[in-house]
Amino acid sequence: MTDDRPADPTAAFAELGRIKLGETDLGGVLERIAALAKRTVPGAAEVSVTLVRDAGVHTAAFTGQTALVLDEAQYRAGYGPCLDAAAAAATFSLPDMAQETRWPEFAGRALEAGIGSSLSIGLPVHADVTGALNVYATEARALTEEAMALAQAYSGYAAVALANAHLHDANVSLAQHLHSAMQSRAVIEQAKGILMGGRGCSAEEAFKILVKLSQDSNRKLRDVAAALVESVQNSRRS
Amino acid sequence: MTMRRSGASAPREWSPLVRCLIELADTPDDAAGVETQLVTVALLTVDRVNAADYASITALRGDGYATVAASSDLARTVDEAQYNSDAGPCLDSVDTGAPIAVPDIGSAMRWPGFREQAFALGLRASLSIPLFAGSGSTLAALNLYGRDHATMGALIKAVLSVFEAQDGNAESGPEVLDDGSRELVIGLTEAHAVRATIQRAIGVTIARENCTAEEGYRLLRARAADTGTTLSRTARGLLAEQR
Repeated sequence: MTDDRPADPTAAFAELGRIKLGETDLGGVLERIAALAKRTVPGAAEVSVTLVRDAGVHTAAFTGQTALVLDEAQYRAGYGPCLDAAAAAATFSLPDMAQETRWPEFAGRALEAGIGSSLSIGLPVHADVTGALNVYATEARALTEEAMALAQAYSGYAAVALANAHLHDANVSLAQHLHSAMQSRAVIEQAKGILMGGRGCSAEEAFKILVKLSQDSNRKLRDVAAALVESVQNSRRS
Repeated sequence: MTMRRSGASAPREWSPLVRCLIELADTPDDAAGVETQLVTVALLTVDRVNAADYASITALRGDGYATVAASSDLARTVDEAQYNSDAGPCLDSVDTGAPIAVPDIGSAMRWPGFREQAFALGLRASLSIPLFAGSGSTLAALNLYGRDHATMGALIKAVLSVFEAQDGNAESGPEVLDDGSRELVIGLTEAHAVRATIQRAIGVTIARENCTAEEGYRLLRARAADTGTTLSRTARGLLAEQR
């Protein structure tokens, strides 16, 4: 695609600005972010994006095998700079793997893979999905302040993409909540009918009875209604 | 054909869209007229509701989903993008029986197939509304597709409030809606009222016959057919006998 173009951060951010309204899914957006970060962050050899969800942690986008392998080693170990960055929404710089004392096991693996330094930037997402943008460099001290600032800007784009996707998930769970409300409404109406038939009361009075039953038994209205319908329809068979 | 007096006390001045939604809620699911009613709802919606530039109806047909009515090929194309990728708001609406609103199609990342096709065709917001006939189970989804975020946003709010309201008596903010959108909201509200009446009568029948809800519905339907009247009128009669 555009990977052979000169590495110009301004053009890269303009492209990301368009992607936001574009025609690709969350994975596609993150892959684009990783690819652009690799081209424009000075010193970056590989870039990846870690996503941490309730269901587990995975690398959602990566520019090369080395990044994936080093990410996954951290997931297996259960700790590492990208996990800590995601958890704390903080930035961790490992300027020299040979001197690294905070994550010695990870640093050893990184050196073996030909990586001399790295950055992990936690995505500022306030949700049940968190993540980190990881930048790997072959040389020690290859990632300068400038590189860090640029990588943080990319992590902001990743966070926006993630927040959009999450917003949507929230809409969908709202819909599912409505669904159970819909189902329970039919049962509640049936229960009202049972009470109206049995007591000769109005729909409003029947509803009040159900509410009182619900409060007295400390059970949800729909559960009380469902139990009533169930008990009446089964009384012939029992 | 003559319009039957429907479940709620239908004022004569109600618009065709309102009347059609009420009538659908009051028609047995397997009646011959249901298909025609669905087509009419789609066409009246696109005709009357400003926010909806396009409209269609998705229904389960055999093993899959099908568009049983569409205001144009564009609506059909967006529906089919969802069937082809087996994912999209209209499928979710039929499956869950809940309204599915997509206020910003550009960020609808959950459904790449739908998003890509709808966005490319200039659509910016959508709303899929579950429809039901006499049994009260979801029968189809009415899909509204719009080119404008703002007008669709107001309609989405109003329609969701119908579904959220207890007992289907939603009071929406009609001042921000165009006439057609208001008709849609009133029609949905009244359709929910018809369903509530029918479900209560099913409850009465459950108690009287010690039967299941499905059997209760079938008994009510048979009684309506015997007396040559509607489900909701039969239901109201049954409920009145209880007083």
